[in-house]
Amino acid sequence: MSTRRERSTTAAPPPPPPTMAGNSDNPLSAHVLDTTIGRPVPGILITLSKEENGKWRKITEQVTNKDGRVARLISQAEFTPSSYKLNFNTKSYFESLGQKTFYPYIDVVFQVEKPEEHYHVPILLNAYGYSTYRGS
Amino acid sequence: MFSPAWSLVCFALFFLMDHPSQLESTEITERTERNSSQEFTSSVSSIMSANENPLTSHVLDTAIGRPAVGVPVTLSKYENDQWRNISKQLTNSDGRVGNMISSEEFSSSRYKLTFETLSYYDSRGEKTFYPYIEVIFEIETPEEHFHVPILLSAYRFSTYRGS
Repeated sequence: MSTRRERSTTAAPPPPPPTMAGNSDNPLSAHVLDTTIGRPVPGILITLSKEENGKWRKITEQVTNKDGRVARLISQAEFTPSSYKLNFNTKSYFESLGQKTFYPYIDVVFQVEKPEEHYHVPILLNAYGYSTYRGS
Repeated sequence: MFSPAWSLVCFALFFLMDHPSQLESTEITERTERNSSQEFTSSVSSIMSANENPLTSHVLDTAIGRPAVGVPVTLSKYENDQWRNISKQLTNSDGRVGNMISSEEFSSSRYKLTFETLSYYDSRGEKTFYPYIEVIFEIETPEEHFHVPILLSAYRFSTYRGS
């Protein structure tokens, strides 16, 4: 019968804490900033889908935090080379401000070829325009 | 010493060179009036064209500072909970598409422009992050002109509502 000390030395080490940079089971993150006011946008619902067999399969949905960010949208194991779609429910944000916007939502479809890299997909948002880019 | 005949010739030449004939003056006046009329007609046509051509788009490759030529652009309209394709065109030599929808069909609704940017980069032998770009927008004032351009590069794009 093993002692508690022996059992503790043979136990698996705890997983490293997830980080934004480098993967550590966090290969994809997103960010929404309102560049009209120069502030992050909390509370935006973001849905991640993965293209499989010509159809979109929903992976997860998260709400941006107080810094306008979402992370750990998908596990490293599931983050294989494929096309992905991030849907940003931006209209609800402008409605909460009592403002109109041109876009009911924003879809960004992108291709992942190197899942070992970290991908960051931000939206720089205005009511009548937006931009996005591949970040790291 | 100039002879009277030679003076007469010089005077005639001077007059003809610097002072158009009455016939030419009339022609110039008519031409000016025609041009003004044409400009007015052209302006009116432009206004009419804007109403008849309520939605336009443009793709610019900001990495090279040039229009993106030959990008397939599909316009769809959201009806009965699904997308219906309205038209598909290639961007022209100026990177533009127009006449995508008639003013009659351009009612208050939700629309989608799909830019097949992958084919553009494939033709250039370049990779890109985006297999295609979709811009979904809502029209509430279809009597206005809407311009929905894409400022494009391989790993970044932006779009805005233009007029």
